[in-house]
Amino acid sequence: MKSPTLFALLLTTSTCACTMSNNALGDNTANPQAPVPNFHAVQSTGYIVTARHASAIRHHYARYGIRLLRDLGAQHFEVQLDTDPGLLKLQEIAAETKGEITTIQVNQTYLSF
Amino acid sequence: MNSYFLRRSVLASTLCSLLLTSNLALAATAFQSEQGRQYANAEIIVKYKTNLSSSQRMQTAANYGAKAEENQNEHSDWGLHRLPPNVTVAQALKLYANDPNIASVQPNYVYQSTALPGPTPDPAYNQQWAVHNIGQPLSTGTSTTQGIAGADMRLEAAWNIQNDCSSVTVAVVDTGINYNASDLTANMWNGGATAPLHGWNFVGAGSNDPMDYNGHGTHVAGILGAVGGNGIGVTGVCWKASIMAVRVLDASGSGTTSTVVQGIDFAITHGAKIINLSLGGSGPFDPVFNDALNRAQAANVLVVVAAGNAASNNEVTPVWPCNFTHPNLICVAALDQNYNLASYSNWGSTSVDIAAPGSYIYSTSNGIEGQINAALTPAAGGWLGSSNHAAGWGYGLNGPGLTSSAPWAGIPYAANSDDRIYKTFNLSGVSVARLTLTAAVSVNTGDYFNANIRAVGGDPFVAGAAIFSSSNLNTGLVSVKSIAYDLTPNIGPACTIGFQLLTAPSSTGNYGVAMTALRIDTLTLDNNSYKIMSGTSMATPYAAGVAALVWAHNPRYTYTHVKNALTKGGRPLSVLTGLTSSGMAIDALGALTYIHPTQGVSVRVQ
Repeated sequence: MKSPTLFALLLTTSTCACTMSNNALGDNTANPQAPVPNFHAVQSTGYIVTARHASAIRHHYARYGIRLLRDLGAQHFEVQLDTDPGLLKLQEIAAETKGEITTIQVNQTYLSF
Repeated sequence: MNSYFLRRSVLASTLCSLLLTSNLALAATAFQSEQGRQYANAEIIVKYKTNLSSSQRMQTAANYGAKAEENQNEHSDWGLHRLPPNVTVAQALKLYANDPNIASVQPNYVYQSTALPGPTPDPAYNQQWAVHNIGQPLSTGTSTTQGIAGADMRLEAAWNIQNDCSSVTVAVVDTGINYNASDLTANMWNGGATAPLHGWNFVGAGSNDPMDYNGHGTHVAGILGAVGGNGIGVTGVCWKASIMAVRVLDASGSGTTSTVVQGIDFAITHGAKIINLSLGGSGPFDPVFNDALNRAQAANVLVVVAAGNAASNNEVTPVWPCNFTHPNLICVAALDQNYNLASYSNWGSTSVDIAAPGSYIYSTSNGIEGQINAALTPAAGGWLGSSNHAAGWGYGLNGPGLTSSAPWAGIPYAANSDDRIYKTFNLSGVSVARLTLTAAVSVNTGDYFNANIRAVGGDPFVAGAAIFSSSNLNTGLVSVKSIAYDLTPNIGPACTIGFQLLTAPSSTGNYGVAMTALRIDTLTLDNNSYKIMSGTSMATPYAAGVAALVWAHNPRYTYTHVKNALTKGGRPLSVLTGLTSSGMAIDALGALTYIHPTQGVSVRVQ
């Protein structure tokens, strides 16, 4: 069932993710783009929320647990949640705040070039 | 300033103002050369046999389809003729040689006063091809590379006009700067009591210390403003500068909207005139980032940004901030030593404004890099098993690597197990450490592959911090994954890294874990280190530095004036046509001598 050859194959293709449809080696399907669930560094980039006051964010998003709330100025706040319901759900909630929360976006990643 | 004139003939001096005022044309044409001498490719100098009137001179020129320069001295025997597009200098020399009104004719050679950094030459100056490209070979460590002489930014000529940018604060919003580097410390921004370490750090919890633990920002800073003529290392575009260190990218070179925007706002509110952003991302339009650039625009701050290193078209795949449309933004592509678009550089016919040298750039580094490759053998590699927990881990179970509980022999791992293994690394004296590991993982729901770290030695699962936790790989998925982790907070003589396979009482087992590579990259800060880097990140500070020269020379300019000087005073390169909005390469002399068209002037004829 669990072929020793498979491991050797993995070692020679150490940057790919391989999906097995069953335990037979011949059924392996290489899929480099396959996401690898739950294998990540312990951190979250979070969101940037534009709101009149920080209290509005605490009030409306408290149900998800606010891990971090940082004032960035210009009514922008960096927010990290304990439980992430996704951007769409957070936008839905923002739309129901009567303008207390105006926009929310992902805190995007930027890299040195 | 150790300034000197190379050569200056009577002819050159009489035409000096002409050359300078027609610099834009010169920049486009002076690349032709004859036996090593550069000359303008659409102009010749003639000596008349007799003193001809202005109209006669013009007629002489017109006979060849050329145009005599109108404002030359009528009492001089010499004159400048501008040739029609279809006549080369070589052809004109032959034609004019037989003209009865012409005593002699010659190319319009290029003479430039130049300045070299002084009083003490910088020892690595000759490695800086972007400053003066003489086709010098550069060693990259594994190979040697060289380019075409003359393919540079004409900085030596520009420095004779301006080399001190200290009146224009430039914020390097990046990974921070090693502000103690010998070649930078005198040129760091003075933040007073508010920012005594020359800037700010917005990474993590933030601090007033923008020290660079990556090296990228220090390299960028050296290109922009390594002290010129101090007898140390390299020469920056600005010999004297005011460089603000704003750390928004972490030790791995990564940041977020929130860190970058805070950095931009810090730069604006603390008086930066130019912001260098050698960074980017290809996510969706970022409104908060966009707003920050609006504030920079309102404050008359010029923002110089990198085009990206994906060798892709930014018109198709936007890269931010390059693709923002603010008028105070300049996006820069990278050139190689032959003044071709670098193979890795992004481009964009509307989004990318200009290009500058970016390949094989020698500049300041933040320190000395090292590497630890851990042997993944429990016996020889120094791996220890926690008491009562080590039985499952082994080596070479059907392949090299550190493997958990024998799964790859075809036996699923056991239920209700807690197998641990760890190793202690001596990282004393190291400033930064970064862990990269590769593992093959297959664990069920409810079972976990964990990695932990402990700064003071011992079992990291007794008292330590999580590097990662992995579970739910139970659907027949076997994953090979690399992960990077910043070890810096745990640096010390006994930094312990460990791995754990933790399985549920009812687990049916799976492949488990095999660690196939574990590497620790280290950095020890050093104030006299240099290295070669390539990228649009390197092109960006060349543009920002020239912008600082222009602004220092013209303190009343707005960002519009400075941007126009760079983009319109650049050197046209045919290889950039359609790839950038200007089709220009940064040209320091061209930018400094660019004359803005007069606007808003009305003349009343009486």
